[in-house]
Amino acid sequence: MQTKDFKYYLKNIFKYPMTIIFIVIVLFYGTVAIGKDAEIDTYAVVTAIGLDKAENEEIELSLLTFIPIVAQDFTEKYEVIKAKGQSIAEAMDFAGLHIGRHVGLSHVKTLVINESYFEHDASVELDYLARNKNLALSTSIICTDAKASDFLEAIKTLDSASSIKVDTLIEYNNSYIYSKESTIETFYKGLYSPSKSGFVSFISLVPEDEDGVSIATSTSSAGQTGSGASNAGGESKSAQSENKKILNNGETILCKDATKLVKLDNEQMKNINFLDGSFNSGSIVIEDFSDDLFKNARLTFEIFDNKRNIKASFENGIPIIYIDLKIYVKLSEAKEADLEIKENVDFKNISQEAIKALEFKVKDSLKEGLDILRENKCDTIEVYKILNNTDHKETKKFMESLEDKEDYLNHVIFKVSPQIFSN
Amino acid sequence: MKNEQSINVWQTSIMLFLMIFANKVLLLPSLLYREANVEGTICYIILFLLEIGLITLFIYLKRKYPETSFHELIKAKLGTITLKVIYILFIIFFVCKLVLIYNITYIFFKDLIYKQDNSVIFLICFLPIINYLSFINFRAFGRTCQLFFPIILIIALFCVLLSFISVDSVPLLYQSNLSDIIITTLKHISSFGDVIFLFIFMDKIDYKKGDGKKLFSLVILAIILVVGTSVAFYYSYTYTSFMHPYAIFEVLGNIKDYGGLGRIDVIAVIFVMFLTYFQMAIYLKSYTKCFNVVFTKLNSIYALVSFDIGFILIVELLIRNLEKTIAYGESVLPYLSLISFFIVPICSIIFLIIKKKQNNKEKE
Repeated sequence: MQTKDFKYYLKNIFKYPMTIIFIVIVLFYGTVAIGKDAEIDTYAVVTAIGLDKAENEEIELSLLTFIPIVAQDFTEKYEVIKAKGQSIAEAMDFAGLHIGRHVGLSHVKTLVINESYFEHDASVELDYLARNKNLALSTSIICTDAKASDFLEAIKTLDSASSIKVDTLIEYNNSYIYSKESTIETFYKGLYSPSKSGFVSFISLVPEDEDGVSIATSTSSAGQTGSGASNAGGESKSAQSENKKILNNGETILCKDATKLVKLDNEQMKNINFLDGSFNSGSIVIEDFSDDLFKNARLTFEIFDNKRNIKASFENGIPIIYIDLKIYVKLSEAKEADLEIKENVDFKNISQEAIKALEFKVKDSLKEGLDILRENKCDTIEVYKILNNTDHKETKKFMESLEDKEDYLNHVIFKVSPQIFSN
Repeated sequence: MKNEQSINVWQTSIMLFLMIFANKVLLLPSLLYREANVEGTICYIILFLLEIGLITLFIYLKRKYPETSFHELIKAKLGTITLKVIYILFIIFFVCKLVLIYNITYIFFKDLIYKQDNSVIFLICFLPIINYLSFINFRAFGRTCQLFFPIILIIALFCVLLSFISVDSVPLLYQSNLSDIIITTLKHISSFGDVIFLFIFMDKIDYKKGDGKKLFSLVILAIILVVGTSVAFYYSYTYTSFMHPYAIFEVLGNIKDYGGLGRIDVIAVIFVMFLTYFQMAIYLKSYTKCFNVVFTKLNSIYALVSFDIGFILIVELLIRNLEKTIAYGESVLPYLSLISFFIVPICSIIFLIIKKKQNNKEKE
């Protein structure tokens, strides 16, 4: 019976126009797909881009490119391809010419930009990034004082020979109190925010004898080089980066109008992050502390959670911001001469004196963080937005009353109340 | 009385659900943000209120004239010439809306997936299927919509609810004044008014007293999902919302980028694909019906062939990039919205008044 039904079905299937359409589409697509080259043969898979300024206002572009090679080991092979051009788009074209493939940017995770770009409005020179649809806006931006091409050479070593990838190096920046998230998206969010300010991660290449992440390399293949437009030939890359290490210690540049204002170290970033509340982990150290348990000890408390509540109000036209910060800590380390652990450390809570000392320390940090923002007229904690969303009319009036409208942070009263809770 | 080609109220609600999404979850949130910032959400609310007004008007009309078609009403009350003029305007309206929907979807797929493929392949994938869907009878089409609806609903709920995961912070409010909101609303009015297909198929929709609740339940759900998408989009991208053109895709992309959930944005691609097929089929069905009313001696084959030729010419020659599509949607189409938000309501109100007078006379 079933066979009969199936025969009937087969006999009548071609009476339905959709069957014919389906067959036509499958044949058409199938033939086209079989005839096409594999994408890996036509595209160069770029995983990181480096941007330096060359002579004659040219752009020096470096592309960390993944080269697929059939091999039995799991080591990925990377090459740094360089090209110059009047614009990033032109340099991309020349890079494509040098490799003999299209430049595929869909897999780019990192964008390394030389510090010189941030001397003036970087958004003008980096316009290509906002327009390119293949480049994900979650691509990490790293500013460096070294040549971006050298940086990529260092990354190449990392990516090829270890599980440490440079994009993951700063991926967790946002969770640490010492640094900030830095992507194309956050860069533009900062730029288009009312205060036009934001942060970009800064990573240095340091000598081998300093702290940092590096893989010792015995060999280093020279990257393909080339240039377009006026600069014929290209400087062949030597193995300079072999002796360098990448160091991400939370350094960050504070930008306004996409222009660098100041470079902040991890302690300064910690102060700003306390204001911002955008962190998950970090430590607070108090020195020379004495209570019933410790004498002149250095105590390190690990932050395991935090909650920040920010509110605004106006009193006689003056804006007041209330920051209610709750930090949850646990004592992770104590250093004291003749320290003797007599009982299970989990049974002992942090004393009230220690909590007060911590609150005092955090309050100090909040003040220092605020001073940095006030000094640079950068509202990265979005005070303006909070005021405006609370009372639009009063905010408008307040802004109109200011001589320097960018300096509004100095005219806002901050009332901060950090509260520390132990586990 | 049930006729063989009529659809029930659930099938009607499903079609309304699909049409409420038309042109509203891809480009529109970004365009509204560009002109009215976060207050672009108010534009949605104003325009949806107009759309609800149209549906209410349809329900009233259907109650008063349960078995009469809209074209019969126009012919009887306003004359044949008015009928031809209005239905020619309907034809233009549906072709223009089809072109807009097709272009937006084409550019969306071209930007994200089929960078190398040409438009002919895209046309091959779309035209035969929507031709076929518009050719089958209305009830069969209603059933097809009903069959796919659970999948579409689950995907829609999944996309919108999940998009709130990527919400970053509250955006900056009160940046647009009333005139910005009104101008933006008028500029994008053409993205709304899709529910006028109800009037075209008025005689093929079974409607009983009390069916309004069923009808509005899915309409309200669709409106909540559309507004929810735009809210999630503005809260996810805040100041950079204007840089992200494809809202429903971008909100899921944001989860992918920051939540590490893999290629979850593919679900949005499937959702857009389903919506486009059904929306285009409903538009093309409406076009065919209007064509048959205007050109009484020509059958549906002529309608489809003329549509295919005209459509390919318009799409290939006039608009195939985002810039042109947006300019077309913002400058040409708003005038055509007069058809859905002026001509149809005026005609409906006239018919209702006539019916009321007739009833009063009968009572006297």
